[in-house]
Amino acid sequence: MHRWAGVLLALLMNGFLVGQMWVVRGAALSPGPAEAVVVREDEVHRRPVKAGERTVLEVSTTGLLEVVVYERTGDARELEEFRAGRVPRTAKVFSQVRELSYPLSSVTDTEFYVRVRHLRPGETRLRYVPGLVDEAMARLRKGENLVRNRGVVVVEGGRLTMPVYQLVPGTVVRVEVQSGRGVVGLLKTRDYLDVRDGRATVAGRCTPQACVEASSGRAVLEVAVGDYDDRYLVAEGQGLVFTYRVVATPEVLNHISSCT
Amino acid sequence: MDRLTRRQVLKVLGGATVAAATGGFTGQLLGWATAQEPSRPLLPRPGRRVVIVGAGISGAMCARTLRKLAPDVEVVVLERNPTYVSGPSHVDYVVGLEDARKVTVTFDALVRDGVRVIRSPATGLRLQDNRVLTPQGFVEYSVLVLATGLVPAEHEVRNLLENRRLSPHAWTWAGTVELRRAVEAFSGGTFVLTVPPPPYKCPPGPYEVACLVQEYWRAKGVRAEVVVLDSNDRPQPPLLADLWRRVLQERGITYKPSFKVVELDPTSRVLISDRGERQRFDLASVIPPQRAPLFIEEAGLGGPFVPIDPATWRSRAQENLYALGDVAASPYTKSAFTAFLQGRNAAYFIARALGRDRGEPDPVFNQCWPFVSSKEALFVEVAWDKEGRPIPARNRTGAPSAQHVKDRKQWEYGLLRAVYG
Repeated sequence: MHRWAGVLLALLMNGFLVGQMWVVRGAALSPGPAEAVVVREDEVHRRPVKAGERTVLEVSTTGLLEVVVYERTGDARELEEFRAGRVPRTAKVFSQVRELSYPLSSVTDTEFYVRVRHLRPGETRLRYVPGLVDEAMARLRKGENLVRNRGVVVVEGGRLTMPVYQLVPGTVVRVEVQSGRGVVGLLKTRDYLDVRDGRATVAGRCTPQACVEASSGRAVLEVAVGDYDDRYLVAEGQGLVFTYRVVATPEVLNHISSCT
Repeated sequence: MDRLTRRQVLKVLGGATVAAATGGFTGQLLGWATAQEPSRPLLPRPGRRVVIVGAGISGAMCARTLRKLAPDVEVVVLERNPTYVSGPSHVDYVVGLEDARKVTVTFDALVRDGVRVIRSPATGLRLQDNRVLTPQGFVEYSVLVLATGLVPAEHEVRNLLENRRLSPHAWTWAGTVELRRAVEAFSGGTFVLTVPPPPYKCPPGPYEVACLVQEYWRAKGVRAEVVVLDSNDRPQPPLLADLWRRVLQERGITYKPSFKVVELDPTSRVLISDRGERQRFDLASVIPPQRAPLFIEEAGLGGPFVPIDPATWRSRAQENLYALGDVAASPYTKSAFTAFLQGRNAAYFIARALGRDRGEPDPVFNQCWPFVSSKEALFVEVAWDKEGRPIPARNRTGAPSAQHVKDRKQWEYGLLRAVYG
């Protein structure tokens, strides 16, 4: 009996049993608080989140990634799609990122699923930083700003378009170009559609308030969001590396409804 | 063709409404767009006057409460319509469950309470002079309360404005009447209803309409596929998401989340998403995003809603200006239930600002009983503290039940009696 207890303890210490449970369910073990793990291509990471929690997902790589974040919606087909390596329509997709920080939170108990795909090989690490929605709200109430989500994006050539999430009035989107040549813009839906459908060029829809041009190296764009229009990050260029941050200011408190 | 800006579109629409209200449609429509600012006062210079723009639930409730709390203060309400039709009944009216006469009220009770009701739209604000502009003249105020509700921003969906008739919706009374006609005349095919991104009026409303029209057509033997295209990644409000999912699935209603409609193709009768996905329809009900009337934005009070302090409803930009209900940028749900409490509570803070401290009202909460059929409704409750902070421990939901339908109607008729009776 004691011998088995020792084995059991040893297995638990190694995270073996917990890991095996997730393997049975077809998902990898979620790392604990602030503990980064190396993740493999197409491995599905499941992360339960309780009502009121705000867990920040952080992913970084030495290569280049597409990160897909999916929250369980109750539609079993969507989860099957995700597990099968496809992208359910409600998933959030972050393309061509080297780093990503994105909060997982909900008003009800829920589960998030994360999967990475390497667009360029490298070592990729993932960790979850625990926190509470109330803590984030308290910081805003104290007058502090709060980063809602953040990414380091690489555009090696051609055009990248990506929706920007968590925009409400009172958020500020800050784009810092670190290197490369090209243009990065934050376009509203209408302008984005015009560009996507070939009715206009990026330059044709760019204004100094919504776009930044980098000819060699550093450039900064800051857009204060005052409405509920969706916005899309559109970047064109060669060797562009930039960071975007969606920052909540205390003004956001006026616009975040509770639930109904 | 050049794209119409929101400003151009709303100016023409606003002008059309004003012109229609004042007669001589065409000439006035053209004239209004370039009209001079009115130079004559509609009322004599005030002592202490609170002007409330809008006599919907929040505006009317605020007016009547103020008369009780501060009887010596003159209260003037500007209202463009001769009557008010209860907002929550729009959804059940669409399928003939509600009689419009039962939920249409006049403003006589306000007049009886000593409120001066002027039937006129507001067309502009002169904040530096404390004036509200109307087509007939201006009204001066000591305190201004904006309770205008929201206007649908149809121009935000390409081709929707020009093809309104293809896609009536229940988020205005005129649209509700039109949708009912279309539902009655529908002989079968695909009905597509879209949900805008939040915040919009009555978050569960679109799913209620979907459930009710499907039940109505089934009872009539009309073969219809009902499709809900949702801009959001789950049904709203989030607390009811799982229950809605189940309800929609049980009823065979096709639900497509994260489908933000950005274009209507009137020729092929197709709705197009921002991702380029296409959904064909025989009858559509595209619920557009909603925002404050243009004259509020033009006055520099912000958009799409008016920023306020949620504890007092006072504008963050103007000391003597308050905004209530749907038009306010606040954490409160855009619903008739909170509109009632917001109107009441704001009156306490306005009275206090005018030197009549009558204590502090209870904080706002919200209850809602969304229909899943003519016989059953869900339930959801949320609450805020007096600073407008959500209290998650007060969150409650209820599965479909017949009792919720009774509770809903009892609440709604009671609300109308309390505000307009």
